[in-house]
Amino acid sequence: MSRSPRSPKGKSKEQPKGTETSAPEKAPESAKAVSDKAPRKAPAKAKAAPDAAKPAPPVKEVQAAAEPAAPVAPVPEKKINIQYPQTIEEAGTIVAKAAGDLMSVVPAGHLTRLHDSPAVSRAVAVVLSTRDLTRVVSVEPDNLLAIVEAGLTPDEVDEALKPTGLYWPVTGLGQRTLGAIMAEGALGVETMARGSMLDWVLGSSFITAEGKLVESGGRTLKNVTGYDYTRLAWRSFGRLGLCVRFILKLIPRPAMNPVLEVAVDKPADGAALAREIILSKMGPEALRLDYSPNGAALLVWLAGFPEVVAAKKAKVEEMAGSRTITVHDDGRAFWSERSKKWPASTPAISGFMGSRQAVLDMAGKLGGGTIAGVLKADIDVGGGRAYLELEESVSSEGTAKTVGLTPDRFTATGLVYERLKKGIDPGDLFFPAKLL
Amino acid sequence: MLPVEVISQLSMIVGQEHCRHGILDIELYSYDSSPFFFKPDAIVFPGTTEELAKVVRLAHDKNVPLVARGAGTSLSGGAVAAKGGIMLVTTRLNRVLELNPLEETVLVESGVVNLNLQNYLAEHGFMFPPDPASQKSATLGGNIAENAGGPKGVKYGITKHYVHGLEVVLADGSLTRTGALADVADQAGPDLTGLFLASEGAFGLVTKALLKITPLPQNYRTVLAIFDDLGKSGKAVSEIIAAGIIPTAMEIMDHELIVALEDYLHLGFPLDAQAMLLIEVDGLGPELDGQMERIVSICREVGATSIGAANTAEERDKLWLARRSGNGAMGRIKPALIVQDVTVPVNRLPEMLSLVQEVAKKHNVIIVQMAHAGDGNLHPHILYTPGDDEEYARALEASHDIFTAALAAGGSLTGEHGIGLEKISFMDKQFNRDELNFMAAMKRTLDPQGRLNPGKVLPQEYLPL
Repeated sequence: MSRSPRSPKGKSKEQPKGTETSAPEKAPESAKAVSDKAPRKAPAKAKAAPDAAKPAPPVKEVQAAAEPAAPVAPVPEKKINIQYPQTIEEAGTIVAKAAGDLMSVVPAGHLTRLHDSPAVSRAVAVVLSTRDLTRVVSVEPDNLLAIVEAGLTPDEVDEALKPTGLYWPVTGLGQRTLGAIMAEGALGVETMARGSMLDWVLGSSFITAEGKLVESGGRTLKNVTGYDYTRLAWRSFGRLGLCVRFILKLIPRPAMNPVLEVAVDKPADGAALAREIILSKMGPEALRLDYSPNGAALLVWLAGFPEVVAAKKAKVEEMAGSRTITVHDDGRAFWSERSKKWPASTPAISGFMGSRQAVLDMAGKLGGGTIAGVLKADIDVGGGRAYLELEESVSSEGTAKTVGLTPDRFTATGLVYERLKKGIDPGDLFFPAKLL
Repeated sequence: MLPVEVISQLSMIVGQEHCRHGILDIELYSYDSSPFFFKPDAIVFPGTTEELAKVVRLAHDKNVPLVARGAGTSLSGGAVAAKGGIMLVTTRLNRVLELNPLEETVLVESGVVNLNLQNYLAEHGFMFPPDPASQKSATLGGNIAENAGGPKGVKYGITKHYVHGLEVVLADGSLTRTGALADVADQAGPDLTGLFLASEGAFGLVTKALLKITPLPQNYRTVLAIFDDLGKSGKAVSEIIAAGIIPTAMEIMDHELIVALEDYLHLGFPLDAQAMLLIEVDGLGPELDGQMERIVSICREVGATSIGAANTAEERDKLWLARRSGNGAMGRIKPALIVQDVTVPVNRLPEMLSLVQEVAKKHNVIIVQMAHAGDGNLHPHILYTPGDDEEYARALEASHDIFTAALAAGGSLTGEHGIGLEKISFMDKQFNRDELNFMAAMKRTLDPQGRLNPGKVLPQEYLPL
C-alpha cells in the first residue's frame, strides 16, 4: 500500500477537523468573485492548526477567511459547520448522524464552490469536506488501475503515478478534488481525445443518505453487473450521496506530450485552423484557442509515442504554414500551471457547453467581431466549451445571451432527476437545494 | 393474455401489420440467444418515437409488462418476456439520422444494426468502436441497454464511452432527452445518460442516441501466436499489459475451438495447439512496428511455439473471421451452449483460464474457451445437448463454479452480456444488501409498477410490488 504525497497525518491541513467557519449567508452576484475565494484563503490561517498530538476540539469557531479585496459590499455572515472526516468510515458516521439529527449534508472537496451553495445558508447544514480523504489505497500496474480516495486532486494522483510509468488522463482542473470533478461534471483539457473523468473510472464508492457505503463497478475494465450508479453521480452536484473512493483506469504514460502554440492573427484564423485539424482526423489530445485583445493563439496538444508525435507535429506545421509555433515540451505541466493562473481576475466568467461548431462560430466574433467587452477567452474547441473574462461594465447576462452561454433553468431532465433524488434520498439529506 | 381491447389499441397505434399476436409470432419471439423461453402476449413494431411512446403509455395505463427488444441477441435472457405482456421490437427504428464529422458524432435511431452503422461510418472514414460478436444483427439500442463491448475494448473501451446523449421514453410514456441531446437549458444540469447504460431496459426505452465516433485507424498490425498451454496464452496477455502496451485487441481461443474452427473454415490452424492468441494493434503507422516487436518478444519469452503475422488485409480478415465464427463452429461439437462472460483483473487471467479447465473436468462438460483477454473478459462456452436434462444441470453447476471463482478473483459476474435472468441469483454474491437496496430504489423510482423488463437484474425480494 502506498500513500499520497499528502497523507492525512503528514500533510498540513487547511483547516482543523470539525471546524465551524463563517461565510456570507447569501453572496450577492457582485460579491461572488470574492466570496468564491474565501475558502481558499483558509490555508494561511489553518497551517497553524492543531498538530497530531493535540487534537482539535470537535467544533471550533473561527471567523470567515474571506479575502479582503476588491469591490464587495459587506454581507451578513453565518456560521457553517464544516466536517473533515479522516476516514471513509468516519464520513459514514457523520452522514448517519446528520440524517438522525435531521440536518442536511453538503458534500464538498476543497470548498472552492462553497459559496455557490444555497444549502449552506441553512443553519442545519453540515458541510462535509473530503479534503482529508487523500489516500492512494493501491496502484496495480498489472491491471492498469489505481484505487484512490476522493479528496485527491488529479495533480496529486499524477504525482503518485509518476514512479510507476502510468497515467490518468484528466488534466488542468486545478485544485478540484476527484469527488468535486465527478459532482460538477468538470471536464479536463483532454476531453476531445479522452472524454471525461467518467471514462477513466472503473468503479466508485459512496455514502448514501442512510450513511451506508455502497460500491459500483470494480477492478475490471468491463463490468455490467447491476445498475451503474457511478455514472449517476456524474454532474449530480453531490445531491445523491458522497463520493469517497474511486477505482481509476490507467494507461501508460505518454512518451511525449508537447503543446504546440500556434500564433494566429485573429481568433477567426485560429478557428479556421482548428477546424482543419479536426477534419484531418489526426486526433490531438486537445485544441484550445486563446484570445486577448493583444493576440491569439491556437494550442494543439499532442501525445503518444515519439514517432506518432513527430508525424502529427509535422502535419500541424504544414497546416500552420508561415505562422510562428512555440513548443512546450511537457504539456501536462503546461496545463497544470495554466489552470492555477487563469483566470487572473474574474469580473465575469461563463462556461459554454455547446458544440465545436458553436464555439468556432463564437471565436469568429471575437477581436473586432460582434462580441465586445471580452478581456480574455479560453476556448476549448475540441470540448465545445468557452470561458470568457469580461469587462466589468459588460452585463454578464447580456453577454451570455449574445453568445449563448449558461442556461437559466433546467427542464425535462431536471424533473426526472428530482424524482430520482426523492427516490434514493427521500429525506432530502444531501444538498437540498433544488436545481430546477 | 392481453384483453382484446388492448390488442386493438396496439394495432391502432402501430398499424395492424406491425402488431402480431398469432401463435407462431408468439413462439418466434419467446426466446432470445439465451436458453430462456417466455411467451409475450403481443409483439409490436413501432415505426416512430411517437408510436413507441404511445405503446409505452398504453402499457402504463393498462398496467401491462413491457419488454424492449432489438434483435434478440441477448445471451442472458435480457430480451425475453419473463412476465408476458407486450414485447416492443425496435427494428423499424433503423435510420442513421445525421453524421457530423466536425463534432465527430452520429445521431441514430435505436434499432440501427451495429454493423450497418459500422459500414456507413467506414465510408466516411469513421468507426463506432464497440463491435460485439453479434454486430451483424445486434441493434444499437441493445448495445446501449447492455453496455456492449467487443474485442476492441482493451484500447477503445465499450459502449458507455461512446454515448453523448439519449432520447428515452420513460415508463409512463413521457419523453426525455439526456446529455448532449437534452435541451440546451438542461445541459449544465444533471446528466442522466449513464442511468440508461447497462440498465437492461429497466428505466426506459432508448429511441435515439447521439454517439461519439472516432476516425478509422490508418494502419493495423495483426499476429497470431500459438501456445502449447492455455495458461501461457493468458500469461502472455497479462505480461503485455504489465509492459505498458495496450493493443487494440487480444483474443484467446482454446484447443477445442481451434479444432472446431479448422474443421469449419480450413484455415490451416495447427490441430495440436492448446491455445491461439490473436493480437492486433492499430494507429497511424510509424509506431506500430515497434509495438508489435515488443509484443512478439513477450510472446516468445512466455513460450509461444510459433508466431505468424497477417501480411495482407485478406490474411487479417481471415483471422478475424475465425474469431468471429467461434459460436458457429461450436455447433459442430454440441448443438447448444451456455456462454458466460465473467471478467477478472488482467493479472488473474492465467489462473482463471486454467481454473475453467478444471471446472470442465469436475462437472464432466465440454467448455470451449474464448476470451477478450486484454480486458480480462472470459467467454467460457459450456456445451450441452437440449433434452439432456442431466447434462444441462451439470452445465449450470459449472456456470456457478465459474461465477464463484471470478468473484473470488476480484472480478465480476458479467463484462458485457448482462445479468438478465441468468445470473440474477448471483447478484447477492457480488453486492451486499445496501447496494441491492440502492439499486432497487432506483428501479422503484423510475418504474414504480415494475413493468419495464420485469424479473431481470434484481432479485424479486428487493422489488416488492
